[in-house]
Amino acid sequence: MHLLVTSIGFGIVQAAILSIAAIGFSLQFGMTNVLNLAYGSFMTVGAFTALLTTEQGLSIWVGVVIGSIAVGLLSLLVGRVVIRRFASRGARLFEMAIVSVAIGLIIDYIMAAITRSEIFQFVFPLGGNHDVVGMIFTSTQLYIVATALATVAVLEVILHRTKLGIGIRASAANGQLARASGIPTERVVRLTWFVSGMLCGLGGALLSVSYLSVSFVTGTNFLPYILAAVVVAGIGAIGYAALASLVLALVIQIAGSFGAGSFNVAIAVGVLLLMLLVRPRGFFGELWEKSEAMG
Amino acid sequence: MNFYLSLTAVYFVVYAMGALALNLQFGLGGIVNFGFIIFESAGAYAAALTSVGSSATGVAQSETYFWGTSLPFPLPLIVAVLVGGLLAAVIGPATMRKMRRDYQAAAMLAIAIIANQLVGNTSSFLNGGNGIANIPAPLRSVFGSSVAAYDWAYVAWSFLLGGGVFLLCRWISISPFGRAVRLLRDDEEAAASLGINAWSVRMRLFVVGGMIAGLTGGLLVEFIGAWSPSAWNYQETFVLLQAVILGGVGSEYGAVFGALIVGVILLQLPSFLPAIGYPGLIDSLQWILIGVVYLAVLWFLPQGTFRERASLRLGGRAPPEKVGPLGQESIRITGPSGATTNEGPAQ
Repeated sequence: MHLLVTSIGFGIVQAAILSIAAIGFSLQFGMTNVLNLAYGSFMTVGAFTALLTTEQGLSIWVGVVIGSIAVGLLSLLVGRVVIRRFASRGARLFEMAIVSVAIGLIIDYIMAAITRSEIFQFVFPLGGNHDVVGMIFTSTQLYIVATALATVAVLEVILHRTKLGIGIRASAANGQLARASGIPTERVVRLTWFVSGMLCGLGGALLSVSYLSVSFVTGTNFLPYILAAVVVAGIGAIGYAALASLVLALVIQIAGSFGAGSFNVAIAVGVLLLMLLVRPRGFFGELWEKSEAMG
Repeated sequence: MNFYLSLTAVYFVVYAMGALALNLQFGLGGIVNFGFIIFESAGAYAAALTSVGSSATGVAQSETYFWGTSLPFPLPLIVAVLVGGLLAAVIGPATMRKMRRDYQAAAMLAIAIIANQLVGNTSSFLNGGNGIANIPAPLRSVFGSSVAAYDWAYVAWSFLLGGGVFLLCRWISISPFGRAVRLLRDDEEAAASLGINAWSVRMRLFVVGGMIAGLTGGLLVEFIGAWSPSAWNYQETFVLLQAVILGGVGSEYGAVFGALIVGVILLQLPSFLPAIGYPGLIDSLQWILIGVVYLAVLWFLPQGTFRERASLRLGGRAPPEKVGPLGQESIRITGPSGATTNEGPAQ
């Protein structure tokens, strides 16, 4: 029983990180139609930026913010320079996925070359322990969960309550119509690259804060869970991506607490394969499309 | 030196066969398999387990794996082929569904990364991250003490198998079955109207690809004598895919040419160069190079070196411009002019 409660607690922290990363991925993919397989590498950049910041003697949370902004800028740069150029040459979804893999390989192995493929430890005070209905969280873990909740809330408000959000959703649903209606789709796409990159960097930095370590494969090894959450939710469905992340992370942690140590990764494969067989458009995909169609 | 040369030759055959199999699945069938390497790996582990002996009494007593036996020469390779095909038959149905192909690509990539982590973290299954070593070389005793003769005999054997796979792929490609596959890729509705069963055709193609992948794994592992998760990282699939794209999607000669350029010149030749920096730096630089070459190929040579024979394509002409290997979906980059703006209908 105690083990179960502990794993639920850890699952909630994992879910918080996963949902931030998955929302960013979903937003980016829904808006740009680019399957960005370099997303995990971008996360690692955020993690290393946070590490470098703390090594300058700054607080870890300053590091997380700087890591997030750095990846936002990197994402904007890659999106507007590399992706845009290839797209204007007529590259399609598949070619673009390959372009993103190439970018991911380049980023990953530049980091590997610089860090000599070593694992770096984070050293900072974790804060005291807090008991939340039987689950023990460190202050750091509570901050991570709070960050995720705030991110989801802010994005939901922006997407559904502001003009900007309407612009984003309209551009994602039908770009030409949105442009004809006077929405500056170009600016919206630029903003999407930046914001999704920020979420990506935030997720990566928080991931390494949670693991207390980072290496050049940290983000890429996390990518499958993001893909699983996004595929389960249906690509572009941002609110559902957070929900799917929660469910996936809890299932993985709870199953892991019963099975062998690495049993949990098999669960993620199983969930993915099952999803593809049963609901290839994502578990919430049809529901989400319906609600979007109704406005 | 002699060993490195023969190793390079064996690697060339392995990469060429892998590229041929991937070309079969992707170039002919349009099936996006970003997890190709796990089928090769399944074959490698299968061949390893069926030749290394049981973990309690076998060659490598310090290694733990769930099962092991010692079969005579061609059997481990046959088992490797069967296991590769079996795994493809199991995973295939999940990738055959009608769905956006990018979902498919994402799922296969996720499966490849996760499978690698799973095997690497489970020490009792396939000896975890250390993998299986001391895999006996088949028919080693026949050649007595001559190491070089054995190595080159193995190279010859590899080329024999590689030639067989090439002829098989070529034959599939120009056979009525191959034409059905191409039609399915280029115009699914036309194929359906001719009574072609898409599921069955794609499944058969996927399983044949999985069997060839299993063969490459078995062939490689029996020569190098060891197999571990670091040998089948997800990015190995993209090496093969790069060979296919560089060579020219849909062309068997292209796949072999691409394997020569990418597998041998980019990945194997650097091991002959004098070491620079710290150990491992060259590995990292190689992967950066692979990434850069990808961008360069897609930028300068998006059609590849060898074009698929026009007569083999739909109705003897190029497929409609709008249809890429992934169908109708396209990238939204949103510029002011309509020319650079494509809308994906699958939303």
